Amino acid sequence: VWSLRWRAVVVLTTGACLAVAVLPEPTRATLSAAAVAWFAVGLAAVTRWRMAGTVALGLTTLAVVLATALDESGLRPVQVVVAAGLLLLLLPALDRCEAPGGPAVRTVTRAGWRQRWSLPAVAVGAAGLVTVTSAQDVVPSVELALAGLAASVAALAVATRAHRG
Amino acid sequence: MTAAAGTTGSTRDVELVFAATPRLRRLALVAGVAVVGAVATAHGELLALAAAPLVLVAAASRSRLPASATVTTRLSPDRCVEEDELVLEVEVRVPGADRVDADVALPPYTVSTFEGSDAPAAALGTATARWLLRPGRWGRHRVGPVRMRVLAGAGCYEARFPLDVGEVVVYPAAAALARAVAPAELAAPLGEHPSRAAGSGVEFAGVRPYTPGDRRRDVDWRTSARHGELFVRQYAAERAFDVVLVLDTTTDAGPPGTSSLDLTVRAATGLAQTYLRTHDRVGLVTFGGPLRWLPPATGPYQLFRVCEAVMSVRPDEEERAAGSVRYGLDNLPRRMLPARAFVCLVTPLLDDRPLGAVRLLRDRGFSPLVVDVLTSEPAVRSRAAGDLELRAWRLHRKALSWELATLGVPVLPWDGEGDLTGALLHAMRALRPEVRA
Repeated sequence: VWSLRWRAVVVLTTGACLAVAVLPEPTRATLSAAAVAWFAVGLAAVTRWRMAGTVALGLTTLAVVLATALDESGLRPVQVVVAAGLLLLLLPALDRCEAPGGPAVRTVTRAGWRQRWSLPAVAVGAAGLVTVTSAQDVVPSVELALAGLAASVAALAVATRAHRG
Repeated sequence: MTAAAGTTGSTRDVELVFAATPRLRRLALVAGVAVVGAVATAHGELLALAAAPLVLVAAASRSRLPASATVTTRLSPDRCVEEDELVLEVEVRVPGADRVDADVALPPYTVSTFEGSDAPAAALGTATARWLLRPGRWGRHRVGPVRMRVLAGAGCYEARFPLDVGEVVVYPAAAALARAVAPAELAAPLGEHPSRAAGSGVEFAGVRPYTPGDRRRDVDWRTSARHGELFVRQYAAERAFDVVLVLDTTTDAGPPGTSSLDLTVRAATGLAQTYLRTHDRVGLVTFGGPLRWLPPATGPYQLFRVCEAVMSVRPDEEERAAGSVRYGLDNLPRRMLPARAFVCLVTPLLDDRPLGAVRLLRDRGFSPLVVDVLTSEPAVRSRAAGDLELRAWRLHRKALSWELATLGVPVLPWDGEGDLTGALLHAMRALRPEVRA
C-alpha cells in the first residue's frame, strides 16, 4: 500500500503537470513530448528505476517548454507558475517512490511543516515574480542587458559556492 | 524460564559526511531545460519555470548542513526467551536536519513493530523512535546495524551511517512439564521426590504397629483407637535423583521454529528447568559435532549453565563441514553418568547413531528413555519416485523404533506442544526393573 500510494502520487502529479502544459490547444511536438514523458513516468512508477524518473522529469519540463514556445496561444503565466510548483512536488514524490528500503525505513524525526514548506513556497513565489516581470513591456537597452548579465553571473557564483564541498 | 534483564547499546557522536542526492541533480536538470528553452525560443516567461528550482538549489547550501549527530541506541533486555518482547530505542539529535530515517536490520525469524517516534515533527530537539522486537528462534543474534539516513538542505543532501546495537541472547522456550516425575526407587538422599522407602518426608506412606523408640507425635490416634493398640504413621523418604539429558544434534530437520533441533533444545531446557526446581541433579551431553558434556549438578546456576550449553548445540559452519560425528559417546567420562541416573536421549531418530548411543548406554547399565522430536517428513522431488523414497524413509524410522522397542527402550514422540509429564511418567513405569530399582 505504501509503495502504491507513492507511485500513484508520481503518476498523478506528472499527469496534472502535463495537463496544465498542453491546455488549451497542444501542438504535435508538445503532444509527442508529453506522451513520451507519460510513458517514462509510468515506467518509473512501476520499475522504480531512478533513471526512468529523471528522464520523466526532464521530458515533462520539455513538454512545458514546448507548450509555451510552439503553441500559438501559448501558456498563460499562471499556468507556467503552476507547472513549476507541480514539478517541485514531483521531486519528493519520486524520491519516496524510488527509496530502496521501502516500508522498513521509518522516519525518526523530521522538520516542522513551516520549515518544510517555506522554501518551496519562496521558490514558487520567485517563479511568480519572474513571470510578472517577463510580462512587462520593456524597451531593450544596453543597461538592461548588462544588468541581466550581472545577475546571471552572480547567481552562478552563489550557486557554485553554495555547493562546493 | 526467566532471563536476567540487562540493556545493551551505546551513545555515539557521528560526524556527518553529506553527499548530493538525485534531487539536487534533478533540480539542476529542470532549471537547465527551462533556461535553454527560454533562450532558444526567446520566451522570457519560461525563466519562471527555471526560477523555482534555482531558488531551491541556491538555498540548499553546503555550509548550512549539520556537522554532527548524537545517536543513542538501547536494546532492553539483552537476554530473553523465544517470543518475548524486546524494546529497541534509537535516540537522535541532529539540529538542522530535514528528516532522519532509520532502517533496522533484524535478526532472522524476528518480527518487529514500529511504535513510532515521540517527536516526529521536531527537528531541533531529541527524538526517540521505538521498535518492539519479538525473536522467534533461540540463539545468539546480532541486532542491527541500524542504517541511518539524515536528509538536509531541502532534501538535496544526505548522510548515511550505520549504528551497531549489540547482541541479544534468545533462550529456547522450555517444554511444558506440569511436575517433575521420578522413578519410584531413588538413590540419592536429600531430595524432594517421595520414595518407596520409609523415611522422614512429609508424604503419608501408611501406618504400622508402634515399637519402642517411636516418637509420640507419630502415633495415629484414630487407627490406634480402632484397633485397640498403638499404631504410628509412616512417611515416604524424600530423595533426589540424577537426570542426564543426551542431545542428538547431528541433524536439524524440519522447518525453522519447529525443527528437530529447536524441539531438542526446548525439551532439554524444560526438563532441566523442572528437575532443577525440585533440587535434582541435571547433566547434559551433546553429540553430533564434537562431544560436549556438563556434569550433573543442582542449583539455579546449573540451569544457567544448561541454557548456555544448549545455545551452542547448533553446529557452526566448520562443524557442519566436518560432517559425521567426530567423537562418539564411548569417549564420555564415567563420572558423567552416575549410577542409577535417569538418562533421557532426545533425538530426531533419523539414522542409526541414536541406536548406537542407546546400545552403549545399555552396556553401561542404563536404560534410557528416547524422546523423538521429528515432526516433519522430507520433501519429495517427484511424485512417482518420491512416494517410494518416502515409504522407504518411513520404514527405516519404523525399523529404528522397533529395534528400540526390542531393547526395552520406550520411545516418546513429542511435537513441541503437549505436556511431557504424563508421557514421562508412563515411560518411567516401562523402564527395566533393574534401572527402576
